[in-house]
Amino acid sequence: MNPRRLPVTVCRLVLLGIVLYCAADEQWGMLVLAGPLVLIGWRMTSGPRPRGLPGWAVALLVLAFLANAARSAMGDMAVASAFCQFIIFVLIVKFFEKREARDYAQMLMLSAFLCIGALLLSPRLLVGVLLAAFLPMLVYAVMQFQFFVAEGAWRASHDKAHQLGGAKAAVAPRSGDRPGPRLAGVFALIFIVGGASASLVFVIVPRGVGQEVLFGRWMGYPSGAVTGFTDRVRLGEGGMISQSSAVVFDVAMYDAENKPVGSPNQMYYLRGAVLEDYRDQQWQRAARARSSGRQPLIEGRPYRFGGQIERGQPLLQVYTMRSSPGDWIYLFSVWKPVSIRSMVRAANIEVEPQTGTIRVEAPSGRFKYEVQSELPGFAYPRATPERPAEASQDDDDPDWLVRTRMPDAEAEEEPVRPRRTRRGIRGFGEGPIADLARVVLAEDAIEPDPLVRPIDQDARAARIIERWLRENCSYTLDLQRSAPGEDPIEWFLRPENRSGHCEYFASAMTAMCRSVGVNARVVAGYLAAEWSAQTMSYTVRESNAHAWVEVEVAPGVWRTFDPTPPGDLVGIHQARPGLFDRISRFFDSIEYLWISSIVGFDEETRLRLMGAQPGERQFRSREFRPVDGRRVLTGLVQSLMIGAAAFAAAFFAGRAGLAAWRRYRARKRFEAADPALARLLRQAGFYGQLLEELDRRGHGKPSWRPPALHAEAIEATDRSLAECVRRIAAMYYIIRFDRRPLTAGEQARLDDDVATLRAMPRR
Amino acid sequence: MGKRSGRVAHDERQKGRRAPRAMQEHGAQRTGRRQQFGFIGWFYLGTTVIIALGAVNAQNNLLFFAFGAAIAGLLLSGVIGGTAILGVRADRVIVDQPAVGSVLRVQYRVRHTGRMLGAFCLTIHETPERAGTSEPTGRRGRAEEVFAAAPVAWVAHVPPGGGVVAEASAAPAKRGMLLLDRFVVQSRFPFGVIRKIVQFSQPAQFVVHPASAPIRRDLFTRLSRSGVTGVQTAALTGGGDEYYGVREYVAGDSMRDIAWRASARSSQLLVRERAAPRPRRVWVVLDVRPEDDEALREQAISIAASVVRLAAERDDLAVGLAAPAQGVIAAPRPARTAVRPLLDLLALLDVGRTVDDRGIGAVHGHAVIGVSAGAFHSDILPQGAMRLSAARPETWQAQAEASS
Repeated sequence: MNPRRLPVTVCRLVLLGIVLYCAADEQWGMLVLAGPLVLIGWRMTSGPRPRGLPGWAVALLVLAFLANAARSAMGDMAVASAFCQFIIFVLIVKFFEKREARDYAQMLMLSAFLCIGALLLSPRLLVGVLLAAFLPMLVYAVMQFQFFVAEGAWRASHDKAHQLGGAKAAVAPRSGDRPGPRLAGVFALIFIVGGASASLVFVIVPRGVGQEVLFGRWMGYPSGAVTGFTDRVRLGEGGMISQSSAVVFDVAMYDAENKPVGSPNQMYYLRGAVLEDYRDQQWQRAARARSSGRQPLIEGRPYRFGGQIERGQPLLQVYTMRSSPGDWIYLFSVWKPVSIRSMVRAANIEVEPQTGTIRVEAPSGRFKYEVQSELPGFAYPRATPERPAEASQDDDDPDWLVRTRMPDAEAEEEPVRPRRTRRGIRGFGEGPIADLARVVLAEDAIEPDPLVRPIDQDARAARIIERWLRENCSYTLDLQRSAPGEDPIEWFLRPENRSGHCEYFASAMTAMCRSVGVNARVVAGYLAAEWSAQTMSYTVRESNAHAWVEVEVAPGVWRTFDPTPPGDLVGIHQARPGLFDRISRFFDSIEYLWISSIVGFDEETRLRLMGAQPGERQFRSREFRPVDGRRVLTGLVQSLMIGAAAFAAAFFAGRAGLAAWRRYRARKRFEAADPALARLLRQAGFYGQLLEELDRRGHGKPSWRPPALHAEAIEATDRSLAECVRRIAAMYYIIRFDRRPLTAGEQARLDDDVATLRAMPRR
Repeated sequence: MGKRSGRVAHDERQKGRRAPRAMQEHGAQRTGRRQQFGFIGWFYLGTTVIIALGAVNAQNNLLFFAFGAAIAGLLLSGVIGGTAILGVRADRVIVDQPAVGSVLRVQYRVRHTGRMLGAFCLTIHETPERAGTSEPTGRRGRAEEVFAAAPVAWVAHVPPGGGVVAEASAAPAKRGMLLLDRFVVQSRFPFGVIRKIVQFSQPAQFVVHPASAPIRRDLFTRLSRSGVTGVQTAALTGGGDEYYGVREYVAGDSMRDIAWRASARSSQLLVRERAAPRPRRVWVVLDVRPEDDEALREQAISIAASVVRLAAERDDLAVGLAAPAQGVIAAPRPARTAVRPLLDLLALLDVGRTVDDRGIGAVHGHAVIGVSAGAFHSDILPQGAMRLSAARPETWQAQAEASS
């Protein structure tokens, strides 16, 4: 570690910090502006005759940047963004200033702040990767700075003393060994211990406490999310939604004649959870939902829901869950399940007859089950990508009218249908949503007032709302947070926003329908879209998680609507076979890991990691299991080991890569400097073999000693080895200094000598 | 470590001080270890707290990780730095004779007794509050008062179980007794957050000689021209011209020295011996008083010291020093051996203390170089004495040599 290289290190660190900010805020123009300015400033103020800005100009510029940042922050720009841009401008100015140790300290500090500011702006994987590169460089620069300051203090005292004493300065300090190798060890230690400690702190700090209490919302960036099935649709959170390519299950479908059903162009909605209540900006299961209670599910024996296939077509689905978490899980089925059969040992099953959701207490690991469903028709044309427009116009197709109630539930009692009122249904009465829905319906000459509108117009009203959302809102996986205090659905429907993912579309349609007296609910599940012709089955990934809407088009009759724009839907859910898409999917999977394990690390994950059972997810047990100390310890040790191993692997891989790169660069430089000699030296590969053999025999050659002298040095201990080394060294000298290739005779002698050397016994 | 005159040694014994040579032989004792946070440390802590608050407020996991990293940095800073410096041992060695206006090289032998890490990026300096003094009274002063450039040494790395020598350069600010006691070895490695300090005590005192003045080098030549040579024969045999006596021949004696007549008389081979020439005696008379301007007074002492140093370059001079106002009289001795005691005397000369003028009749009949801050206060110098006045550079400065 050379303290005099600190300016270069700081320059690199600042540039990396600027890249980090630009990646986080997607302000690549700033990189184009700031990068060259930094380099120009660095060039101007370094070298034998540095020129820098005067102090008053620096102060003036910093004040101007501060005022600009304040103005931006008070305007539309995010505070963190304005803060980062201010830091970048100050850093640029610092590069145009003559620098001392104090200035380098300030630049290091500002770079660290820039990094923190970038973290506030985005959780993207690229930011994480750049952060992983930034932190080691920051640590290295800080360590180098310590050497720089200490050496500077020594040098100042030394120079002053010699100036006063009238003597010439001494050539070099006797300041100890070169710390390089030891310092690398310390660097590795810092990374392993620091990484483990940081991971430990990361894991043990409770989440969900004090959120938005101190600074409100301004300071937090949207934490992002990953695609995946959930029985709670929480709105209002912004951030990037990562597309995870992790496979959840495979599903094969068979018709009544046991022929495989499916094609690359056909998609199936696989229902999981039905979410009817909207509270605290999130959709969740209806509080009034009644389940069948726990009933045993015996392996291999079908569990019937009480009815038979009525007038529809049977569809057998065979689901193979790749990795069940080993708890209560939702089972998926194409509308509507008639019977279910577990292919492995399962404990209990719980059914909600009114919504048709099924949960089982599945064993952990691979879990396989069969579901027999009744389809309204043979095919399920709603989601066929080629004909989304046709489907949307097919309002009166009787096949779409599906009875949701299961026969046993139907026998017990009639479902409670929400009473139609002028104020809307379940909390979506008056307000901007209702106003918008009325305008939308009025444009299509549909009576918005539910008390006036005929009930058979509900399906048409829902279809109009669905179409309006498809046409007027755009799909995105990168969202801003909704404004504080504002309902996220209202925020989404404001003309300046109207951009979101499927949960927003489904929520908006449900809210708009309810506001005009059409009963609707959000359904969460998967969209089976990736057809495999080899296995004749669909592969369902986390990225296929989807939310859509079911609308009650007649009493007790629910129908599926999907307001998400069909083009985006197909683009997201259908797998493309190209190489680029495969690579993209690979990076998606990495980003998924990043988002799910780091950015999306929540209290529930934390508790699970700590060995406690989370109590928040309603489809799991609400009880906390007693904390098993051994399990906690094992989990922690495992986490630490994994973390430490990952850090160590990354560190050593980085070091190896760096060393290889340096070697490559040195070789290239050498070859460029003297190509003829480089060509000749390719013949001198035997010299490396000679050094290796000497090392193996305990006579390793110091780098400073020429080979011929080394031969003399080892002659006292091993005369024959020395003689052999001398002969090989002579051949090396011919190539190296005579600059000529070996003749055939010399080459033959050399081969003999090398063979002799290898055959010599090792001591 | 300089030798001191009997008077100074007596004074210090009176004050109960230990002998400097004995103190120099003692190794440094570690007297304490502490850690300081400092401004950077508190700033780091404050930033860590803000990151934590921001992470809690935003539930931002990357900020939680940054908080974890900041905590880890704090722990590592304390553990790595503290562990590394725990095994450090150091000794101080003064290499040169300290003198005002010259570089004083101070070496610190640093060892590390640990087995694992070694120590990195150590700086060593004398503690400011008890660095030493240049006052003859023994009052301790701050480092910046004692040193015009305080010694700071730097060690990049001390391997575990190994040792290195770090060298610092200093420039003493004043003549007098330099008392050094404590020095600290400190490190901010790796992150600069916590300063780890180990303090050592190694009491030692050194005489800082007066600065050298650029005096003209022909002083003694001019002194010869003035007719006062002061050459005498000595009671010792040597390579002079005067006859001393005869003795028996021993193998190796030159044939030219054989006294043939005396040998014939005594029937044994005798050789002539010649008397060694006695060096010329030169007195340096320093006439400085408390009422003189301090700068001129110190300049006069520097001139006197420079005269003594110039005399030491010659073999044929014996130099003595007299400071009548301070009661200092040191008889002439061969300049090469007398230079150090005389410079010690000049270094420790307490010009604030005056005694009744003692007679300096001893100087009469010898070559005398009088040095004063301005005008000579009394007519103590004999006729023909050379008079150098600090206030009149043309009397002593080298640049005036050519013009005179």
